[in-house]
Amino acid sequence: MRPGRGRLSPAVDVRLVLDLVGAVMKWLALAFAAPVAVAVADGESMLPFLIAGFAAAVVGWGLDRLTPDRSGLALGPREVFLVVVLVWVLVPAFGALPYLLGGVRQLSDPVDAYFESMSGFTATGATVLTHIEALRRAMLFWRQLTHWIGGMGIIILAVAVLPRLRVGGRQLLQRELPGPSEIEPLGATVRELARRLWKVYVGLSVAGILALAVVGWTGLDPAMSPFQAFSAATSAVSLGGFSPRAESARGLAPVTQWIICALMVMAGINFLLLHRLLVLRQLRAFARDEELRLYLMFLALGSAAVGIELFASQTVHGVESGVRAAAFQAVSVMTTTGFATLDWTRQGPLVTLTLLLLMFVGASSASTTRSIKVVRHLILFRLARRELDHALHPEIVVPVRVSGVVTGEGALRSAVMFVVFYLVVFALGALSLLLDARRAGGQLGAFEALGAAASCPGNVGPAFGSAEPFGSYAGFTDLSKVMLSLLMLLGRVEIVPIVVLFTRSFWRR
Amino acid sequence: MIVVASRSGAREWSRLLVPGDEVVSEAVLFGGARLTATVARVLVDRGIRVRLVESDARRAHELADAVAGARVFHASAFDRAFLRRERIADATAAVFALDDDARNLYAAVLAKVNGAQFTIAVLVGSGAAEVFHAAGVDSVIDPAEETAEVMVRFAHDPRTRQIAMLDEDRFEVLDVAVRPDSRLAGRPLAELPATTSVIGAIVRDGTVVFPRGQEQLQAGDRAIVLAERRRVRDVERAL
Repeated sequence: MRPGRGRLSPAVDVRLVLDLVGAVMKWLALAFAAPVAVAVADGESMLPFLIAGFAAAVVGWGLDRLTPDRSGLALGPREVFLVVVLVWVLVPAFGALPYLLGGVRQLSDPVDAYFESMSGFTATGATVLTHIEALRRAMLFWRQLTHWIGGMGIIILAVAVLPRLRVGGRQLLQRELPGPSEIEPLGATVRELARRLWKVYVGLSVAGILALAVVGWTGLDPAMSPFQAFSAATSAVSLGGFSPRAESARGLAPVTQWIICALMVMAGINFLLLHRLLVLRQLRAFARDEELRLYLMFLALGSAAVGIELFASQTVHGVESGVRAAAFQAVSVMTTTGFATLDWTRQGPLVTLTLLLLMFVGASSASTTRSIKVVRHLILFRLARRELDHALHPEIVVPVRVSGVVTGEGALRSAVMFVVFYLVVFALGALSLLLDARRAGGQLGAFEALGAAASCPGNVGPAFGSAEPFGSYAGFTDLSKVMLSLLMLLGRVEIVPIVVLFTRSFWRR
Repeated sequence: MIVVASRSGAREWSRLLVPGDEVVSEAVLFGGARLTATVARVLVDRGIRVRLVESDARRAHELADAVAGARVFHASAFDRAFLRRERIADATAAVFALDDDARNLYAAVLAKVNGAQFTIAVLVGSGAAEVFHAAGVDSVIDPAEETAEVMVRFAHDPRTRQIAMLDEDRFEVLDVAVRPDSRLAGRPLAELPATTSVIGAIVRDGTVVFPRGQEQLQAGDRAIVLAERRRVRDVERAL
């Protein structure tokens, strides 16, 4: 890299980074138009959203002007990491403005507003609200919209649309779509890939909204007003978990719950794979995908484990409602959504432990899920098998194949290290929460801390204890909420982009 | 005895004629050239368990990536401990395709000493066949000779495909397309003049017919003929 004048660091092209962040900010500004429309329709004040949008636009435009036009310059890995981190830190900040400006009493503390906004954009679904339904509809709408925008990844949208990201877009896309194998050379450019992802995402969302709206119109579930249908569908497809209902998905009609469950399962499938099935009609490639099979198997096993306890303790009555309850909870937690139809903290230990473990599974790569993801578990299995093979045959050479394709040693190593990082984050997170609770003299149980430390990096949302599905994170101290926001962020960007910023070699050549 | 048969028929004959020999269920291939990879793939497709042994690390990994279904070992063919530990002797057949004949010979004999049942060597230089046979290697493949055979086929009439050369080139098995104006077409086989050649099978429209005396040759048929080498030209002219 050429040393330039006025560069803050010789190794990182900070101006290029800011330029790109500015571009994303301008896009974000547009997003505020939607809640403005809702506010106007409701006769409510649209000022909070207008101001927030204006602020985002100004910052975006300002960054754009302050940095010279860098189109055509390639993004190196450092720039990619910095862009990802800055976007994911700044966007929720601007996203929190409407809560603060709109006088939402429960979110008047900036820490709370940022938490809620971060939880929204990272599609976590953890809330500090104790009375969700006290919010104005426009605010609730914005809250749901943050899920939908953040779910597929703000950056993927940017890559799909921004022309200047043609070079280096691949690395950005790779960062947003983690998991080892997705960016296959499908003969498509990066922009084409990003577009495909958005097409599937939008398609699923629309289908979900329509399905739920129809359920409401036909009277099958009177609770499904168009607004509720939109909220539930976008939350399910983004695998977020926010609901404008205090009861989450509890109390909804069985058909509604099944539809939401189906949406979550579909949104947990690799979107590029879905594209191959739905658009390219490649049924065989779809059926042969090993990650898909393992994903469905995990879902089945998780549901079975939960179901065993539910039936044994007779919490559920009737086969259909029992299967529905078991499947819904297992699917919701494993796909890192966070919807609930029953309070899973008051069931037996098998349910609790299964759900806690499912928080570490995640859905498929290239979907809107977080956590470790099924493909990494698949790789770990294969590596474990290879390890055992080596114990018996020291000279044997065994490549690890995923869906028939040989996976390079670099990708394997990354997968293993990610899992290690993830577990370290989980452990340190839990410890930090407990330490902070002691400092503040609060009551935080060990399992409660573990639950929160598992749920937030996995972007699941609800956990155990006070953060149970129908509860809230309001009881945590401000410092803990900041830490939880950081955990959500770490999970969303998959740890490495943030941690790498703290290494010396990032800032030096 | 030269038998012209379908695949299952050939297996039947082989079982009848050579009792007690087991089917090759497992093979070990030494040496990691392109040849080995191709052979391995063919064997794996046939349901034969294949192990590959290659001493170069990079080639071993390439082989492992290229041949799914085979087990690849990064080891030396001369490593006695390895041969014993991995029970190379358990394999029905061991194929040696190393870089030079001296090493091939030693490796083959070493394997035999360690209990390998059937050894096949792929020669590098020509003329080494007799050395291998003397050393007790069961079968020797000379790629140069095989290539020459293929080239010789081009010397034939274009309608003819040579399938095999037997008994030190005294006999040939040919696949000849019958011309419409052949003087042998349209006559029952039993009436054809007796010569030092025999029609073993007829391929008609993609199906194979094993002819009895009343079968007639038709234009466009492909006749699988076993003939004396010096008679091949006559056969081609007749058909």
